[in-house]
Parts: sequence; structure tokens; C-alpha cells
Amino acid sequence: MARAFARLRTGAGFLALVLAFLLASPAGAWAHAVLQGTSPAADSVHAHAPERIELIFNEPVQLLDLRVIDDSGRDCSPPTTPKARDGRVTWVMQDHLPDGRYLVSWRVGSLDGHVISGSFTFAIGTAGAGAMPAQVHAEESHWPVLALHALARLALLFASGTALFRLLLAPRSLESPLHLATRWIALSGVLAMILFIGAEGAVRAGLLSHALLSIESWQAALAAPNFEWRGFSIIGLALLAARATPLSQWLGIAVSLLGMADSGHVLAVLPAGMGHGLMILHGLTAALWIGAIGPLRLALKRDASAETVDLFRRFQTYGALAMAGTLASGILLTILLLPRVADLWQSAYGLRLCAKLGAVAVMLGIAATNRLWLTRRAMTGAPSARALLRRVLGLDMAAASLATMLAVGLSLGPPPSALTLTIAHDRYDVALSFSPGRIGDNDLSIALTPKEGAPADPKEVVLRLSAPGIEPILRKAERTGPGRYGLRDLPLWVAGPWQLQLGILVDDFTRLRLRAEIILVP
Amino acid sequence: MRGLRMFAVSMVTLAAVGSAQAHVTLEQTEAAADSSFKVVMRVPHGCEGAATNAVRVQIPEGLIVAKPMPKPGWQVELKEGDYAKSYDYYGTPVTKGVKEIAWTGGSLPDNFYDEFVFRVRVTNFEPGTKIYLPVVQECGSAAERWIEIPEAGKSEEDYEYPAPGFTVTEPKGH
Repeated sequence: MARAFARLRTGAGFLALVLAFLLASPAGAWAHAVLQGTSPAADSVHAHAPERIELIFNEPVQLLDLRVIDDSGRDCSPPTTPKARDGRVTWVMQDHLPDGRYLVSWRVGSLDGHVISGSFTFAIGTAGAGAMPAQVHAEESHWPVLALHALARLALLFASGTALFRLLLAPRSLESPLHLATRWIALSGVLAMILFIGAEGAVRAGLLSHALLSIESWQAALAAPNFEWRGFSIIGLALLAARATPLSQWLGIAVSLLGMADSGHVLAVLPAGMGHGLMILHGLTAALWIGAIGPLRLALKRDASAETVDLFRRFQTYGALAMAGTLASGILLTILLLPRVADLWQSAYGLRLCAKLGAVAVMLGIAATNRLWLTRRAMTGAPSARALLRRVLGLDMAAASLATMLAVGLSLGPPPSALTLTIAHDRYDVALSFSPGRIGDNDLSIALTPKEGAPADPKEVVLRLSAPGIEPILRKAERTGPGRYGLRDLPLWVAGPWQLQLGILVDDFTRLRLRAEIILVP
Repeated sequence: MRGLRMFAVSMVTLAAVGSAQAHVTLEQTEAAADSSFKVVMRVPHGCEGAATNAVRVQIPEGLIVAKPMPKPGWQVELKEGDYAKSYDYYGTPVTKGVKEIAWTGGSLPDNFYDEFVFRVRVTNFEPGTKIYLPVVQECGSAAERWIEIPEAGKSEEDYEYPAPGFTVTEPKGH
């Protein structure tokens, strides 16, 4: 109560002051207040939390609104009341803000009654240096489903890879053990696949994932959009398990690898044909690569005869092709799926992909070591080198399995995608693309297509962004090419509607204002 | 913060009184069609505290034979161009003329006030037409562009940098 009265008194005092100004000063001399500086400074990075936030204006101002928002969009405004005295607004932070990035949104009234407002950002700790947005998107994960999916995928790649090795490379002495291995891996793949489909169906039907025996689970599984691809995997694996004839083996490999096209996220981003094709190619080359590790190890374990030496020699081209194909298709998929390089470490999808790439890097390291040094020594007869090569191939197998499982982990959430929109105007068609297009730091690229003799490159392109509770953020766009402009690290940290206004200065006296709204989701 | 909201209401009332004073404005906001009009542009302050050293105004279509009043301490430059159509000026067809007037090389400190004057002929506009004169105020490397022309259904009050304007009235002697 006492505080409310105190505020009322300050308010009344200010009102009197303003009225006095209104009466005393010559009309023409009034101007709006101008923000001259802030503490912390805009876009600054600090080792410690600031004790206060200060805004300094060129004249006395009336504070209308002030708030601090962190980069997950949470209001971190301290409970203390900010004080405006002369041109200085001071807000004492009662508790230290934790490390992170913050947006200060302010609105004040000038002496002339004009209301001005704006927002600026600052960071505490190391968070300023391109840390990932703190927004954690809780996704329901069903570990049994994920584990079964990983098992099925492992079996698919190892079974088809082993079969490929047997058909393309294996000496006669390895044929029967390799077929046996293919058969058992394919059989367990069929089982894992069926369990996976059922468990996922159960989750789709809203049941627990072990409710495999219920009809609803299987009905839901059959209705799943990628059911046919999974069906291909089961048929292909069954063919691989059934007969050893080259025809049924080749057919089994081809049909089972079609199941690789079952990747919802890839298909959500890429055109269907391209997405399917790249995933199948990636699966085929990965199967060639990782399906060779086991048979090579087996050959090494059996003997070090001329036949094995010859096998390792012939594997060099086969392995190099498989590796090159896997890497090329993988890199292409990464480029197509991630809108920008920073998404590798700034998005959850990117981080999961990095984990997988880590396992692949281990495999590449092993391949290089073997190629340059170890294989030659093992083949020239040193028993210790052979034992070492076997152990290294074991490690390779483990890394390959890990990479495959982590690849399945990519299905946990979608890759970051860009948010695009177009604005039509009688002077320009404007295409805007926000990346990643979710809440957090966003890069914006702007493409201007001039009409009716408007200049392709206007004098200035300025973006003004605001959201409920966040006063306008004003940024000037950098020219990145003919008719292309860009803005980096826009602090779009709050979910919901954002108003954007693009100010295009066509010539000194003409500024076009194009407006649009975007809805940001976590 | 709730307390602040309350004062926001009082500020809005004040805003209605004062906001028009902060911009570049015209002394006379009405001019008769088919007559000469002395335009007095009032510049109340610099750009964010910096002194003004150039003021440039664009002469819109329909305002012809513009002539600036010389101003001590400032160079006055004229930029000529073709009009979109031919206008009758005491029996003489006029097809081109001044499209931009620039006062440069002066210095108007932020805490001083000044006026920039020129004369134009307002042609036969429909009475009630609102005409805007986009003005660029330059202060060294900074600039304030008073160039926003209200869209249909909006007024100058809705803009941060409205262009100064006037309303055309009935021709004299009618």
C-alpha cells in the first residue's frame, strides 16, 4: 500500500513536471527522447551478471515498460521496481542472473509525450559465443521402440552387407560360414522388425510399447505411413534367410535395402524421389562397408594363406568405393537437411548427427590405419600384427554398430528447417527465409525481386521485429549479393506471433513498408 | 510494473497534445488550389542529438515552379526533372522544373530551431487532397528521413517519421 502511494506520488510529481514543461517551453523546441547508451551495452558479453540494468536517455523519461527475457523466452524480470530519474532508468537486479543470453525490452515516454521503445541483447558467461538455444524440446521417447528399431536396422545392414560380400568378394572357403551368418542375422532382423513394427503400432495406438499382442497395436501399425517400406525390409530379410541361391540373395539384398527409405524426417524435407534414392544409396554403400568387417575378421581368424592375402588385396577397391559412396551420400544428405552449418552444433538434430559422425570418424581412422600400415604388416606374416588387426577390426565392428544405432537415433526429432514466406508488393516481391525457423537465434535471408523499374538494390533494407511483450528490435540488413540481403542471429526467443516489417529505402525520399507475421514454435 | 501501466494512460493523453511538435512540420497546413504557396518547413531538432547540416525536400508531382528562399550560411541546390504531365502556368505550358531542393553546408545545433522556406505553385488539385513533402534531414553520417506517407486509413500520428504535409483547399476567388 505504502509503495503504491509512493509510486502515485512519484507519478503525480512527474505529471506536474511534464505539465510545467508543456506550459513553459516553446512548442517547436521539443524533441523525443533518444536512447544514448545502456548498461550492459547492447550485444555485449560479460563474465559476471550485472548488478543493475541501466538505460540512459538524453532527457527525462517516463518508464512505461521494462522487462528482461532469457533466450528460452522466459521472463526473468527481477521483482524490484525500476527507477527512472532524469534521463536514467536504473533497475537493480536482486538476484544474479544465471549465465545465458538476455533480451531487454523497454518502452518510455519522452517529455513531448512521444513514446519510444526498443529491445537489445546482452550475454553473461560464455553463452555469448554462439551457444545453442537453451530451449529443450521435450519429446516423448519410447526406448523399447527405439532399441528394436536400432536392432532391426543393424540386422538389415549386416545381413545385406554380409550377403553382398559373399556374392562379390568371398573365396569359396568362406561361402558357407558367411551364408550361415547372413541367415541368422536376417532371421533375427525379421524378428526385430516385426517386434519394432508392433511396438511402434502400440505407441501409435496410445498403448504401452509392450502391448504387442493387442489388435489395436497391429491395426495402428498397418496404418502407419511407412509400413510398406518396413514390409519390404521383412520380405527382403526373409529371402536372405531362406535360400542361398545368388538370385534369391540378390533379390533379398535389393528388397531389404528398400526399407532404408523408411526415414520420415528425410522425406519431410526432401522431395520424395530424391529422399528415397539418397537414403537407399546411403544404406547400400553403408552395408557394403560395414558388412565387410565381419567376413574379413573371420578370414583372418581362419588362416593367413595366399587366399586371405588375395582377399584383403581385392577388398581395397571394394572398401574404398563403399566408403566413398557412404560418405558422399551422407554429406549430401547433411547438406540438404541442415539449412546452415551452425545447425550442426546449435540444433538437437545436429548434435545427434555429430555423435554419429564421431563413430564414423573412428571407422575412417581405422580404415586409414589399416590401409597405410596394419594390413600390410599382418599380411607379411607377423602373427602379432594379425592379432592386432583382428582386434582393430573388432573395434571397427563396434564403431559401425554404434554409428548405425546413432543413425536410428536421428529419427528422434526432425532436422531444423527454415521458415519461409513471401510478401507481394507492387514494387517488389520479397522472399524471406528464417533459419532454423524455430524459437532461438535465427538467421534471415531476404531476396528482393523488383517490379516496375524499382532498383534491384535499394539504398537500405531495415527489419523491425516485435512480439507481444517485446518492443521492436531494429536491424539493418547486410547486402549479400544482387537483390540479396541477410541478417544474422536475430533473437527470436519467444514462441508465438512475431510482427515483422521490412523497410525498403528505394530512394532518399521513398521508404516502402512491407508487413508480415510469422508464428514461431519451439 | 503495474504502477507503470497506470502512468502509461496519462502519457497517452499527453502524447496526443505533444507528438506533432517533434517532427519536421509545415507552418501552414492548408493551401488553395491554383495558387502560390509559401512553404515554411520547421526543423525542431537534430538527428539523435547531432547538429543538422543538410535538409533536402522532394517536390511532389503537381507542385510546380518551386523556388527556394536564399538562406545565409547554407548553400541551396536545385535538382530539376521532368513532370509526369504538362501544367498550365499563366498560359505557358510547363513540363519540367525543380523536383528537389537541398540546403547544405550549414549547421543547425540540436538545441536550436530553424525554418527552411520555399515557394511553389499548387496546381488544380481536388480540394481536400492531402499532399506530402518528403524531407531528409542529414546530420553528418546520420540522417532522419521524414518520408513516411500515411497509407489509406492511417494518419501521420501512426508513423514515427511522417512526411510533413498540407491539405489543398478551394481555389481562391470561387
